[in-house]
Amino acid sequence: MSPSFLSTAVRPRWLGLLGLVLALATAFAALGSWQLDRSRDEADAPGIVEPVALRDVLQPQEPLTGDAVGRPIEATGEFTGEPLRVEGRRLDGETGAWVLMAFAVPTGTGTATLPVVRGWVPDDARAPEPPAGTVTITGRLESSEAPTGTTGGSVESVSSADLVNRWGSPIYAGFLVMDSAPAGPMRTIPPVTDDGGFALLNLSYALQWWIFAAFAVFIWWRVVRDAHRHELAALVDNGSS
Amino acid sequence: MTTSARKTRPIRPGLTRYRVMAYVTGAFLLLLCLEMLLKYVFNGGEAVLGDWIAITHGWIYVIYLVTVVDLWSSLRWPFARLAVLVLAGVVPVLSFVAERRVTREALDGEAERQGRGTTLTA
Repeated sequence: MSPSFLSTAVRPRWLGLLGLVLALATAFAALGSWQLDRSRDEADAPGIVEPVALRDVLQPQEPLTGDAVGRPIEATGEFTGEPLRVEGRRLDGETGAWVLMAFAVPTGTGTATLPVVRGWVPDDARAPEPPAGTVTITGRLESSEAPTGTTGGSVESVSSADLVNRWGSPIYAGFLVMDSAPAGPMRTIPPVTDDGGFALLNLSYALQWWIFAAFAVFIWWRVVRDAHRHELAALVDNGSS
Repeated sequence: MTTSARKTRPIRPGLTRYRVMAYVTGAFLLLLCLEMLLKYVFNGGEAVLGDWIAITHGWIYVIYLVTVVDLWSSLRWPFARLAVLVLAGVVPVLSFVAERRVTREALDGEAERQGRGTTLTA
Protein backbone atom coordinates (compact mmCIF):
# COMPACT_ATOMS: atom_id res chain seq x y z
CA MET A 1 0.00 0.00 0.00
CA SER A 2 1.49 3.34 -0.98
CA PRO A 3 1.70 6.03 1.70
CA SER A 4 -0.71 8.93 1.43
CA PHE A 5 0.16 12.61 0.98
CA LEU A 6 -0.81 13.10 4.61
CA SER A 7 1.77 10.60 5.87
CA THR A 8 4.47 12.71 4.23
CA ALA A 9 2.94 15.99 5.40
CA VAL A 10 3.00 15.01 9.09
CA ARG A 11 6.74 14.30 9.15
CA PRO A 12 8.42 16.67 11.67
CA ARG A 13 10.32 18.44 8.92
CA TRP A 14 7.23 19.34 6.91
CA LEU A 15 5.16 20.09 10.02
CA GLY A 16 7.87 22.50 11.10
CA LEU A 17 7.81 24.15 7.70
CA LEU A 18 4.01 24.31 7.90
CA GLY A 19 4.27 26.15 11.23
CA LEU A 20 6.68 28.63 9.66
CA VAL A 21 4.50 29.10 6.60
CA LEU A 22 1.35 29.62 8.66
CA ALA A 23 3.13 32.20 10.83
CA LEU A 24 4.23 33.99 7.67
CA ALA A 25 0.72 33.78 6.17
CA THR A 26 -0.79 35.16 9.41
CA ALA A 27 1.64 38.06 9.35
CA PHE A 28 0.79 38.77 5.70
CA ALA A 29 -2.95 38.61 6.39
CA ALA A 30 -2.49 41.02 9.33
CA LEU A 31 -0.58 43.40 7.04
CA GLY A 32 -3.49 43.13 4.59
CA SER A 33 -5.99 44.11 7.30
CA TRP A 34 -3.77 46.98 8.36
CA GLN A 35 -3.69 48.27 4.78
CA LEU A 36 -7.49 47.94 4.57
CA ASP A 37 -7.83 50.06 7.74
CA ARG A 38 -5.43 52.61 6.30
CA SER A 39 -7.44 52.58 3.09
CA ARG A 40 -10.56 53.63 5.05
CA ASP A 41 -8.65 56.21 7.12
CA GLU A 42 -6.97 57.78 4.11
CA ALA A 43 -10.33 58.17 2.39
CA ASP A 44 -11.88 59.76 5.49
CA ALA A 45 -9.11 62.07 6.59
CA PRO A 46 -8.78 65.40 4.82
CA GLY A 47 -5.24 66.04 3.63
CA ILE A 48 -4.75 69.39 5.33
CA VAL A 49 -6.19 69.96 8.78
CA GLU A 50 -5.25 73.50 9.85
CA PRO A 51 -7.59 76.14 8.40
CA VAL A 52 -5.94 78.97 6.49
CA ALA A 53 -7.22 82.53 6.10
CA LEU A 54 -9.54 83.07 3.13
CA ARG A 55 -7.44 85.95 1.78
CA ASP A 56 -4.40 83.64 1.51
CA VAL A 57 -6.26 81.32 -0.84
CA LEU A 58 -8.86 83.25 -2.78
CA GLN A 59 -9.48 86.88 -3.78
CA PRO A 60 -12.91 88.27 -4.77
CA GLN A 61 -13.73 87.97 -8.49
CA GLU A 62 -10.78 85.67 -9.06
CA PRO A 63 -10.95 82.04 -10.20
CA LEU A 64 -10.65 79.25 -7.68
CA THR A 65 -7.58 77.06 -8.11
CA GLY A 66 -7.78 73.28 -7.82
CA ASP A 67 -5.51 73.35 -4.75
CA ALA A 68 -7.96 75.55 -2.88
CA VAL A 69 -10.98 73.29 -3.38
CA GLY A 70 -11.77 71.33 -0.21
CA ARG A 71 -9.31 73.39 1.85
CA PRO A 72 -10.27 74.22 5.43
CA ILE A 73 -10.75 77.98 5.49
CA GLU A 74 -11.20 80.64 8.15
CA ALA A 75 -13.09 83.83 7.25
CA THR A 76 -14.06 86.86 9.31
CA GLY A 77 -17.06 89.00 8.39
CA GLU A 78 -20.78 89.41 8.88
CA PHE A 79 -23.86 87.47 7.77
CA THR A 80 -26.19 89.78 5.82
CA GLY A 81 -29.66 89.52 4.31
CA GLU A 82 -32.09 86.63 4.36
CA PRO A 83 -31.12 82.95 4.11
CA LEU A 84 -31.72 81.15 0.81
CA ARG A 85 -32.73 77.49 0.61
CA VAL A 86 -30.78 75.31 -1.85
CA GLU A 87 -33.51 72.73 -2.50
CA GLY A 88 -33.26 69.02 -3.19
CA ARG A 89 -30.14 68.23 -1.12
CA ARG A 90 -29.92 64.85 0.58
CA LEU A 91 -28.20 63.99 3.85
CA ASP A 92 -28.13 60.43 5.26
CA GLY A 93 -30.96 59.44 2.90
CA GLU A 94 -33.27 62.34 3.87
CA THR A 95 -34.27 65.14 1.53
CA GLY A 96 -33.84 68.69 2.66
CA ALA A 97 -32.14 71.94 1.79
CA TRP A 98 -28.82 73.66 2.30
CA VAL A 99 -29.01 76.97 4.16
CA LEU A 100 -27.16 79.54 2.04
CA MET A 101 -26.34 83.08 3.18
CA ALA A 102 -24.32 86.04 2.05
CA PHE A 103 -21.26 86.65 4.23
CA ALA A 104 -19.73 90.12 3.89
CA VAL A 105 -15.94 89.96 4.15
CA PRO A 106 -14.01 93.27 4.61
CA THR A 107 -11.35 93.62 1.90
CA GLY A 108 -9.72 96.93 2.78
CA THR A 109 -11.50 98.90 0.07
CA GLY A 110 -14.99 97.72 1.03
CA THR A 111 -16.61 94.33 1.42
CA ALA A 112 -16.89 91.30 -0.85
CA THR A 113 -19.60 88.67 -0.63
CA LEU A 114 -18.68 85.08 0.19
CA PRO A 115 -21.55 82.62 -0.32
CA VAL A 116 -21.69 80.48 2.84
CA VAL A 117 -23.59 77.22 3.27
CA ARG A 118 -24.31 77.11 7.01
CA GLY A 119 -25.66 73.56 7.09
CA TRP A 120 -28.47 71.24 6.07
CA VAL A 121 -32.10 71.32 7.29
CA PRO A 122 -34.93 68.83 6.62
CA ASP A 123 -37.66 69.93 4.21
CA ASP A 124 -40.08 71.01 6.94
CA ALA A 125 -37.59 72.86 9.16
CA ARG A 126 -36.47 76.47 9.21
CA ALA A 127 -32.85 77.41 9.68
CA PRO A 128 -31.87 79.00 13.00
CA GLU A 129 -30.84 82.66 12.92
CA PRO A 130 -27.17 83.28 12.10
CA PRO A 131 -24.94 84.95 14.69
CA ALA A 132 -25.18 88.77 14.53
CA GLY A 133 -22.21 91.12 14.13
CA THR A 134 -18.66 90.30 13.09
CA VAL A 135 -17.81 86.61 13.47
CA THR A 136 -15.07 84.24 12.38
CA ILE A 137 -16.34 81.11 10.67
CA THR A 138 -14.52 77.98 9.52
CA GLY A 139 -15.34 75.42 6.87
CA ARG A 140 -14.10 74.07 3.57
CA LEU A 141 -13.95 75.90 0.29
CA GLU A 142 -15.89 74.46 -2.64
CA SER A 143 -16.03 75.58 -6.26
CA SER A 144 -19.24 77.13 -7.59
CA GLU A 145 -21.89 74.84 -9.05
CA ALA A 146 -23.45 75.36 -12.49
CA PRO A 147 -25.87 78.31 -12.58
CA THR A 148 -29.58 77.41 -12.65
CA GLY A 149 -31.22 80.81 -11.96
CA THR A 150 -32.77 81.95 -8.70
CA THR A 151 -36.41 82.50 -7.78
CA GLY A 152 -37.85 83.84 -4.53
CA GLY A 153 -36.22 82.41 -1.43
CA SER A 154 -34.86 79.25 -3.00
CA VAL A 155 -32.20 78.20 -5.50
CA GLU A 156 -31.24 74.86 -7.01
CA SER A 157 -27.48 75.33 -7.01
CA VAL A 158 -24.80 77.37 -5.28
CA SER A 159 -23.50 79.46 -8.15
CA SER A 160 -21.65 82.73 -7.78
CA ALA A 161 -22.75 83.59 -11.34
CA ASP A 162 -26.38 83.45 -10.16
CA LEU A 163 -25.77 84.96 -6.74
CA VAL A 164 -23.95 88.05 -8.03
CA ASN A 165 -27.30 89.12 -9.58
CA ARG A 166 -28.95 88.85 -6.20
CA TRP A 167 -26.21 90.02 -3.87
CA GLY A 168 -24.19 92.29 -6.13
CA SER A 169 -20.49 92.59 -6.85
CA PRO A 170 -17.75 91.89 -5.78
CA ILE A 171 -18.31 88.22 -5.01
CA TYR A 172 -16.01 85.24 -4.44
CA ALA A 173 -15.91 82.55 -7.12
CA GLY A 174 -16.25 79.70 -4.62
CA PHE A 175 -18.35 79.10 -1.55
CA LEU A 176 -17.67 77.98 2.00
CA VAL A 177 -19.39 75.00 3.65
CA MET A 178 -19.32 75.57 7.41
CA ASP A 179 -18.09 72.80 9.68
CA SER A 180 -19.81 74.16 12.81
CA ALA A 181 -21.65 71.84 15.18
CA PRO A 182 -25.36 71.14 14.51
CA ALA A 183 -27.77 73.79 15.86
CA GLY A 184 -31.46 72.91 16.31
CA PRO A 185 -32.70 71.17 13.16
CA MET A 186 -29.61 72.25 11.20
CA ARG A 187 -26.91 69.63 10.67
CA THR A 188 -23.30 69.77 9.43
CA ILE A 189 -22.72 68.68 5.82
CA PRO A 190 -19.90 66.11 5.69
CA PRO A 191 -17.30 66.36 2.91
CA VAL A 192 -17.88 64.14 -0.09
CA THR A 193 -15.48 61.20 -0.38
CA ASP A 194 -14.91 60.62 -4.05
CA ASP A 195 -14.06 56.91 -4.24
CA GLY A 196 -16.63 55.18 -2.11
CA GLY A 197 -14.66 55.33 1.12
CA PHE A 198 -11.52 53.45 0.13
CA ALA A 199 -8.12 54.74 -0.92
CA LEU A 200 -7.26 52.71 -4.00
CA LEU A 201 -3.55 52.31 -3.28
CA ASN A 202 -4.02 50.83 0.20
CA LEU A 203 -6.89 48.63 -0.97
CA SER A 204 -4.60 47.28 -3.68
CA TYR A 205 -1.83 46.62 -1.14
CA ALA A 206 -4.33 44.87 1.17
CA LEU A 207 -5.36 42.45 -1.61
CA GLN A 208 -1.71 41.79 -2.47
CA TRP A 209 -0.81 40.86 1.12
CA TRP A 210 -3.62 38.32 1.15
CA ILE A 211 -2.40 36.88 -2.14
CA PHE A 212 1.11 36.58 -0.62
CA ALA A 213 -0.41 34.73 2.35
CA ALA A 214 -2.07 32.27 -0.03
CA PHE A 215 1.25 31.95 -1.91
CA ALA A 216 3.08 30.92 1.26
CA VAL A 217 0.60 28.09 1.92
CA PHE A 218 0.70 27.04 -1.75
CA ILE A 219 4.50 26.79 -1.73
CA TRP A 220 4.41 24.58 1.37
CA TRP A 221 1.98 22.28 -0.49
CA ARG A 222 4.27 22.19 -3.53
CA VAL A 223 7.34 21.34 -1.45
CA VAL A 224 5.57 18.57 0.45
CA ARG A 225 4.01 17.16 -2.72
CA ASP A 226 7.46 16.93 -4.32
CA ALA A 227 8.85 15.22 -1.21
CA HIS A 228 5.90 12.83 -1.25
CA ARG A 229 6.49 11.92 -4.88
CA HIS A 230 10.16 11.32 -4.13
CA GLU A 231 9.17 8.91 -1.38
CA LEU A 232 6.83 7.07 -3.71
CA ALA A 233 9.46 6.89 -6.44
CA ALA A 234 12.00 5.57 -3.92
CA LEU A 235 9.53 2.86 -2.87
CA VAL A 236 9.06 1.80 -6.48
CA ASP A 237 12.82 1.69 -7.06
CA ASN A 238 13.37 -0.44 -3.94
CA GLY A 239 10.56 -2.78 -4.89
CA SER A 240 11.85 -3.37 -8.38
CA SER A 241 15.49 -3.94 -7.50
CA MET B 1 1.53 8.29 -11.32
CA THR B 2 4.46 7.05 -9.27
CA THR B 3 6.97 7.90 -11.96
CA SER B 4 5.77 11.46 -12.55
CA ALA B 5 8.48 12.80 -10.26
CA ARG B 6 11.05 11.69 -12.78
CA LYS B 7 9.51 13.41 -15.73
CA THR B 8 10.84 16.79 -16.66
CA ARG B 9 8.74 19.27 -18.50
CA PRO B 10 10.24 21.69 -21.00
CA ILE B 11 11.64 24.70 -19.15
CA ARG B 12 11.87 27.21 -21.97
CA PRO B 13 8.31 28.65 -22.00
CA GLY B 14 8.40 29.08 -18.20
CA LEU B 15 11.91 30.54 -18.39
CA THR B 16 10.82 33.07 -21.00
CA ARG B 17 7.81 34.10 -18.91
CA TYR B 18 10.07 34.54 -15.90
CA ARG B 19 12.64 36.57 -17.87
CA VAL B 20 10.01 38.94 -19.25
CA MET B 21 8.54 39.50 -15.80
CA ALA B 22 12.00 39.95 -14.25
CA TYR B 23 12.65 42.82 -16.64
CA VAL B 24 9.20 44.40 -16.29
CA THR B 25 9.30 44.12 -12.48
CA GLY B 26 12.82 45.53 -12.33
CA ALA B 27 11.91 48.46 -14.57
CA PHE B 28 8.76 49.28 -12.59
CA LEU B 29 10.66 49.02 -9.33
CA LEU B 30 13.14 51.64 -10.56
CA LEU B 31 10.21 53.84 -11.63
CA LEU B 32 8.64 53.34 -8.19
CA CYS B 33 11.91 54.33 -6.49
CA LEU B 34 12.00 57.50 -8.56
CA GLU B 35 8.40 58.29 -7.59
CA MET B 36 9.14 57.65 -3.88
CA LEU B 37 12.13 59.96 -4.07
CA LEU B 38 10.08 62.72 -5.74
CA LYS B 39 7.09 62.14 -3.45
CA TYR B 40 8.74 62.02 -0.03
CA VAL B 41 11.91 64.05 -0.52
CA PHE B 42 10.80 66.79 -2.87
CA ASN B 43 7.01 66.96 -2.59
CA GLY B 44 6.16 66.43 1.09
CA GLY B 45 4.31 63.13 0.63
CA GLU B 46 2.06 64.14 -2.26
CA ALA B 47 2.17 61.84 -5.31
CA VAL B 48 4.12 63.35 -8.25
CA LEU B 49 3.77 60.91 -11.15
CA GLY B 50 0.77 59.26 -9.49
CA ASP B 51 -0.30 56.42 -7.22
CA TRP B 52 -0.84 54.25 -10.29
CA ILE B 53 2.89 53.42 -10.32
CA ALA B 54 2.76 51.85 -6.87
CA ILE B 55 -0.51 50.06 -7.67
CA THR B 56 0.78 48.72 -10.99
CA HIS B 57 4.13 47.68 -9.49
CA GLY B 58 2.28 45.72 -6.81
CA TRP B 59 0.28 43.70 -9.32
CA ILE B 60 3.23 43.20 -11.65
CA TYR B 61 5.13 41.81 -8.66
CA VAL B 62 2.28 39.36 -8.04
CA ILE B 63 2.53 38.14 -11.65
CA TYR B 64 6.33 37.97 -11.29
CA LEU B 65 5.90 35.75 -8.22
CA VAL B 66 3.65 33.41 -10.21
CA THR B 67 6.33 33.01 -12.90
CA VAL B 68 9.04 32.55 -10.23
CA VAL B 69 7.13 29.82 -8.40
CA ASP B 70 6.32 28.11 -11.68
CA LEU B 71 9.95 28.12 -12.84
CA TRP B 72 11.29 27.13 -9.42
CA SER B 73 8.98 24.15 -9.16
CA SER B 74 9.61 22.95 -12.72
CA LEU B 75 13.39 23.14 -12.22
CA ARG B 76 13.19 21.54 -8.73
CA TRP B 77 15.55 24.08 -7.32
CA PRO B 78 16.20 24.30 -3.58
CA PHE B 79 14.01 26.40 -1.32
CA ALA B 80 16.71 29.03 -0.70
CA ARG B 81 16.75 29.93 -4.37
CA LEU B 82 13.02 30.62 -4.30
CA ALA B 83 13.60 32.99 -1.39
CA VAL B 84 16.31 34.82 -3.33
CA LEU B 85 14.06 35.21 -6.40
CA VAL B 86 11.15 36.44 -4.27
CA LEU B 87 13.45 39.10 -2.76
CA ALA B 88 14.95 39.95 -6.16
CA GLY B 89 11.59 41.47 -7.18
CA VAL B 90 11.66 44.05 -4.39
CA VAL B 91 15.36 45.01 -4.22
CA PRO B 92 16.20 47.57 -6.93
CA VAL B 93 18.37 46.20 -9.78
CA LEU B 94 18.64 42.74 -8.16
CA SER B 95 16.03 41.26 -10.52
CA PHE B 96 18.24 42.05 -13.53
CA VAL B 97 21.23 40.35 -11.90
CA ALA B 98 19.16 37.35 -10.80
CA GLU B 99 17.66 37.03 -14.28
CA ARG B 100 21.11 36.53 -15.86
CA ARG B 101 22.14 33.89 -13.34
CA VAL B 102 18.82 32.06 -13.50
CA THR B 103 18.89 31.94 -17.29
CA ARG B 104 22.46 30.63 -17.40
CA GLU B 105 21.88 27.94 -14.78
CA ALA B 106 18.53 26.89 -16.20
CA LEU B 107 20.03 26.42 -19.66
CA ASP B 108 23.08 24.62 -18.21
CA GLY B 109 20.77 22.30 -16.33
CA GLU B 110 18.74 21.63 -19.44
CA ALA B 111 21.87 20.81 -21.45
CA GLU B 112 23.00 18.37 -18.77
CA ARG B 113 19.63 16.65 -18.66
CA GLN B 114 19.69 16.20 -22.37
CA GLY B 115 22.98 14.35 -21.92
CA ARG B 116 25.00 16.67 -24.08
CA GLY B 117 27.09 17.60 -21.08
CA THR B 118 28.07 20.88 -22.65
CA THR B 119 27.64 24.20 -20.89
CA LEU B 120 26.25 27.16 -22.67
CA THR B 121 27.94 30.41 -22.04
CA ALA B 122 25.65 33.34 -21.39
